[in-house]
Amino acid sequence: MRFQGYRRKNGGVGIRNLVAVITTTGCINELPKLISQGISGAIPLGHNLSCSHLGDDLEQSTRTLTNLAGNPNIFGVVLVGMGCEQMSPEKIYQDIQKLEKPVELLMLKNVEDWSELVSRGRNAAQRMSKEADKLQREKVELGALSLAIKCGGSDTTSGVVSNPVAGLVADRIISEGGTVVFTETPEILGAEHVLAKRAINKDVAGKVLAAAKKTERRIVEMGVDLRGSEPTPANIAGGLTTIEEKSLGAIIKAGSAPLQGVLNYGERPAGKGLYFMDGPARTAELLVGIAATGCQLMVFSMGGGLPSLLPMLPAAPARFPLMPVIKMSGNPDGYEKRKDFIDIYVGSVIEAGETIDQAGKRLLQEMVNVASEQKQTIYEKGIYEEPLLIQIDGPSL
Amino acid sequence: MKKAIVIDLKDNVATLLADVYENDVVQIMMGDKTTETKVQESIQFGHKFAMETINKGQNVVKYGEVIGQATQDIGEGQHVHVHNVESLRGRGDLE
Repeated sequence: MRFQGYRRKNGGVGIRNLVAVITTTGCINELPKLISQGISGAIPLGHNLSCSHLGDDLEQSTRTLTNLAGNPNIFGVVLVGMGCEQMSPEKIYQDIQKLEKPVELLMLKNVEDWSELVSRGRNAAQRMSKEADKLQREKVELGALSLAIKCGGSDTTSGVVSNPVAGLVADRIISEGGTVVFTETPEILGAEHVLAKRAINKDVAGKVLAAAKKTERRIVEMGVDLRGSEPTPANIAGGLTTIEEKSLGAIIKAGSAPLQGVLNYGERPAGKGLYFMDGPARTAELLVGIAATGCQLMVFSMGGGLPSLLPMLPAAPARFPLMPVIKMSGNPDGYEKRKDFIDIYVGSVIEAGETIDQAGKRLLQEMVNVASEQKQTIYEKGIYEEPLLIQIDGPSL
Repeated sequence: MKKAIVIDLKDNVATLLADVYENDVVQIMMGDKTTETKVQESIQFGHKFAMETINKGQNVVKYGEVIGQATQDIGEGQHVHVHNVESLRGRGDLE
């Protein structure tokens, strides 16, 4: 089974062919917007961070931004900096060059007026867009995929249908030599020992347990009862009683392959296979972090409770053109009410005796179609744009 | 017939795949085997009921693992959820 993708100079494969206009400080987020406007394939990637990075946060921000630029769905980068920010535009520019990706650096401190930066940026973006257009898609093996898997709107069907279907596909991608990344550290609490047993060595097992412990300690230090927020009221209405139950169902989406490593937020894996990224469950921050690990495509495994039942916007909280998201649901009730908001329905496992295996094959075909851009996902129909939210662990100064 | 699923043989709860009403007979799928039981009360799709008596303080088991502890005695066929089960994780309220 193969898909049609763009082979990059450094060996990576993209399923989209974007020109990313990225800023090294959120103070000038308007510039990527003005630069990319109306240019085919160009996307603005502004974000929430400016100065005041504390300690490890500077490393996390720089790593995440650099690796986002390195995502194989991006053909080329227009990097826009100020000259006073804490992240170093020059360093990020050099690191992007090392990835053999077309990149240009524009600095506000080198112009008389910001409008000059906009016209220079637009020239650069237009040039890259024309270069990108010359590339043709080629037949690529499944093993070139790095698949992100997330769950949300979970209920008890998640652990019984949609997560097992995702897990089956995860196993297949890995058996073909590909990579799968999953995250959401709060949602391994109660299941971390199960994950740790699958780690390839004691070091990785220790990292899984440490990630869970760190998150739980933070909750306990706040003196709060996690039961106010995890499981969410929507999860509870859907039948999930405790975080333990939710987590045990959640980890099923990662399949059964050995766990190769634990990634820091926005960090790229050292090899292929299954990886866990220590990171938040909140969608906006999650998408950024997991796209930075190099994932070209995401499967979003859903239950059927709220928010699935709400008349949702196609993309929430905002569009994320960098990495297409396939929404999958296994809840018959939810699907009945909201079929316009689900890309692939697998509740037929409950209703019509379809096997997990058969549903898995359908998901794989959906992924191939989306990767080859023969089909647009519901998420890709989103219009609303906002700056990226990069996760930082320290306080906001 | 209305169905429920048991994921692991060590589980003491089953998860419903249909809305059920008091005294409904439910077919329980446990791997290749099926059994039948009667539920003691009306319970929603996706919610759980006890496969056997679970006493206060006893572990509730699903996926072959502990998912919480009973906060009161739960009879066979009764609804198992936040009103009679508590989580043991992230309990900053207990410190």
